[in-house]
Amino acid sequence: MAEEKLSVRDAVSDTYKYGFTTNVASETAPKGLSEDVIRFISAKKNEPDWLTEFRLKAYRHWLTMAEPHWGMIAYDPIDYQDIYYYSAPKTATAPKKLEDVDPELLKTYDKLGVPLQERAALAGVAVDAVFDSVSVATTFREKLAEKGIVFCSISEAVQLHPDLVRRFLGSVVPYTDNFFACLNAAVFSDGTFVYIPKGVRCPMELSTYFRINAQKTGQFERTLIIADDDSYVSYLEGCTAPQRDENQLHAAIVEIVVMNNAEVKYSTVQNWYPGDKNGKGGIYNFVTKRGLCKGVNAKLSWTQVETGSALTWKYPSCVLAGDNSRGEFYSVAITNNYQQADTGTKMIHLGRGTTSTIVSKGISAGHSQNTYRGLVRMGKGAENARNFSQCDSLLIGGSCGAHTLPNMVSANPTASVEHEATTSKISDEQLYYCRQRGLSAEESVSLIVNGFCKDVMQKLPMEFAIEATRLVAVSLEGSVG
Amino acid sequence: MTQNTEKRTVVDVAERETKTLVETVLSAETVVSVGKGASLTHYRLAEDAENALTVRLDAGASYTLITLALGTGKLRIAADLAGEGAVCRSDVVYAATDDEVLSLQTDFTHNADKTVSRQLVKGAANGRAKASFEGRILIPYDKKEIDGSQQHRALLLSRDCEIAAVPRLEIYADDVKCAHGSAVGSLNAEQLYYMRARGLDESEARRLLTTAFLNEVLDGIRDEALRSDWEAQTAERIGL
Amino acid sequence: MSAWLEIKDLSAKVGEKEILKGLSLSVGKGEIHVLMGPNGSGKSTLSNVLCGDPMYEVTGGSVTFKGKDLLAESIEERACDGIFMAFQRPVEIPGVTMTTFMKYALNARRRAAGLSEMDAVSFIKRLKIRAKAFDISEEMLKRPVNVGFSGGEKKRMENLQMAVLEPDFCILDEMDAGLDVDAVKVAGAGVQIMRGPERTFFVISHNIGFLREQIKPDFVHILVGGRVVANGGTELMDEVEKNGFSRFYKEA
Repeated sequence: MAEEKLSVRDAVSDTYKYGFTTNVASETAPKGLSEDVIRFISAKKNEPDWLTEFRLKAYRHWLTMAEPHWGMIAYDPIDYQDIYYYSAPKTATAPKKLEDVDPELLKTYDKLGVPLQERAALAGVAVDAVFDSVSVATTFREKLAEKGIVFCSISEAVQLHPDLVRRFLGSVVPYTDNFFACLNAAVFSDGTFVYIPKGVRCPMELSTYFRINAQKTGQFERTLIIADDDSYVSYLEGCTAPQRDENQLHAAIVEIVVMNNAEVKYSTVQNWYPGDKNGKGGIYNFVTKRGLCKGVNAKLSWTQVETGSALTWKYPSCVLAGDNSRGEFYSVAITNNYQQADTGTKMIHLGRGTTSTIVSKGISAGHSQNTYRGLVRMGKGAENARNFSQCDSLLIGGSCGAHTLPNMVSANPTASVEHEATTSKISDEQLYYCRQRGLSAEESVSLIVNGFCKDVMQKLPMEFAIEATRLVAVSLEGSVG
Repeated sequence: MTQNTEKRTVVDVAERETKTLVETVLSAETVVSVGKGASLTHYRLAEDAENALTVRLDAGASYTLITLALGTGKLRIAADLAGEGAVCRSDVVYAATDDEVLSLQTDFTHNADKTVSRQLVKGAANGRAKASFEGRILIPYDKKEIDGSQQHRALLLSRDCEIAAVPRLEIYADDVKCAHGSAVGSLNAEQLYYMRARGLDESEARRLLTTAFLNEVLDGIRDEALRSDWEAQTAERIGL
Repeated sequence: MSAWLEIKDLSAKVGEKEILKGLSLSVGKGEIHVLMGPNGSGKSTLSNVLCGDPMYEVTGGSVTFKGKDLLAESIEERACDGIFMAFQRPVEIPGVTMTTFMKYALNARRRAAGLSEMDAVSFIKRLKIRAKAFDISEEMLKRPVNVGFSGGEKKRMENLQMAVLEPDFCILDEMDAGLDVDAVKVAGAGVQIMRGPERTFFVISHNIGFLREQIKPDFVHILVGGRVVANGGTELMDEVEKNGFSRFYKEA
């Protein structure tokens, strides 16, 4: 008994290598939210006064707000005073070796083809540098620094590039934006900061590899990406493997600023724990993602594959302010068992000649509910602006729901907005045909669903696309009997 | 079959009957019931009107509705496809100009198997008018062989008008075929150019194209006198 | 010892409608059988029941295939056992290319047979060689399964799938139906290329010219009212050509 306790303490002290120097008790703020807790978080991160003030202002505003309930999602009330808003990574309870990890989880990694060296990190194994990618990451970082690209955690950025952070933080998603964004502004834990200087084309996809280790960002993640004039970056968030996380509430913010002639591609694969077959547990994912195409000819493209979380509430958006700027949204959302997803996009056309394209593919199985919710707004100044949206839903089984709720508003007679949507099921004929050729019912469904999603999958970076195809199959397991 | 009080109009079409109804003065509420195997063709002129129409269709019933909505107003059309094999077709033209504010809401519920709904909504706004369309197709749990479709097309004719559209599909069953489409924009520039190249002046070309656009719905009216009267009213009301 | 394929007193219905009413048939390996009969006699039903189409409910009788109880197997188990159906109206599967689809199908069969999956390079080689035989271009192989194919193209693709998957029991359901004269000429190419001592064919068709010139069957069976009412050779085709099915109605 005594020995075991000792090893736990050892494991805890391991985390101190990453910069925690005080004892365990003071690493965790008390449960609940108050100005003191926020000051504590800010102090822990050694933040400048303006940032502390930013958090406090957000917190005071949050107190006046009510949780939104317009989404087609149902859940028990969240007790915001029953959540830890700051705590050290929970390595003490984490498995210590890959062999200690739940075999079911390992089986899933296998199906997804996750490289061996990544599995430990994903499973939350409390070992430092289980793999080489720390050094890989360092090499990458050096290469990026040569080009003047900043790629670091947002906490680091606050210390190293305070002017940039101060100028852009909250400039696209103000803390007043919505309840969850406001909460995030008050308590955000960590996240990613990217700055691409003028005229620089980021030589590599900023991707998963980094994230596995650079990231213990926690449940209130905040990302800020700035692409200066004539620059380009492709950013990949998340990975296909299910990630172990004990926090139920996630409220993240992603803010993107795209300047003149710059382009940002943001791809997400979201596969947080969706809860069990009976709908118990799972992550509540309330995310605010928005990009501002500030400059002329700016381009922002969101691609997402959403298969995880018990609840998803997420609308990656583009504010098309610069003339001739372009917004894109390509989405696959799969829900199974008792998952609920209410996701879509907003395209706000302000500038002349702005264009946007929306392609959304929703797949519902089991007892899940899957909603596409969108807004396309053509402002008075959106001269000759164009939007086209295509939303298709596929139903698997008779106990799930698929809903399509696009909103369109046009106040400019030269602008055009077009939306098309279909809802259908996998036909018995398609299933029979595939099975007659020898495919199992599950293989058939996954093949047909991947075909249905093809237009979106093609938009993913190559390596991601292959993983995402496998993910479709894994997500729909058990959906046909 | 019609009972008209100031507040409420009640229309009952008995089993297997076939009727046509023209409604030009709307009360606040219209309640229509189409019996088993019965068929009703219903033309309504809603001029600056506020009205809630509820329709119930029994098995095998067929209901064809053409609504012309002009001016400031608030219209709601709710259809309950309650009996197996019921077919509901609802087409609407709306037009608003000056400072008019027009809102149209439709709500179709497929409460029985093998029911079919078809909606075509075409609209135009001019002046400083604001028009909105919100249309829902709801398919409850366990319903089979449902076919629903809804199309909305609208034109903005001036710099200061605004049109908002919220088509909604809410589907809780898998044996369905559903589609909706919505488009808001302006007249086709190529067509305008073509007409002007043939010698029409711009305002004439615009008027022709706009009325052609809206008349796609009104063309469904089988009474010729009524149709040309309503077409003329539409053109006049929208200030063409 | 039962035959390679032994169908005994098979009854089946679709919905409430009884279509097969005690059908029996013995089939050996390496034989080419033609099924003829008026519309609704049960030819397509028999084919789909053998493949396990869930639309049909078997109400009686038995089917033994290679010594196993066929009716106890799932659709895909039967397919992996070597049963292949060339569909009369192949369904469209948007977004899935023909190449991907055939690779999945082939590897499902290989797995079932305990073989390793075929790698992409070997598969493409195999596919291209066989595609040539059916005059199928590489561009066609990149298109989604049956989407936007003409009637003739669909039939060629069914033939190609048969050639790639190498089943040993092939059912061809009206391969020639709805095709123009030129397309009919190649519809039988699959049988011509693949016939051999290891492979059995069931060919359903009304087109006697097509059967005589391209299929050249060993046996002909006449179905009426959900039963086999006559068994014989090509002389039965001659009779049907002359007199239609009138004699067989009486026998039924």
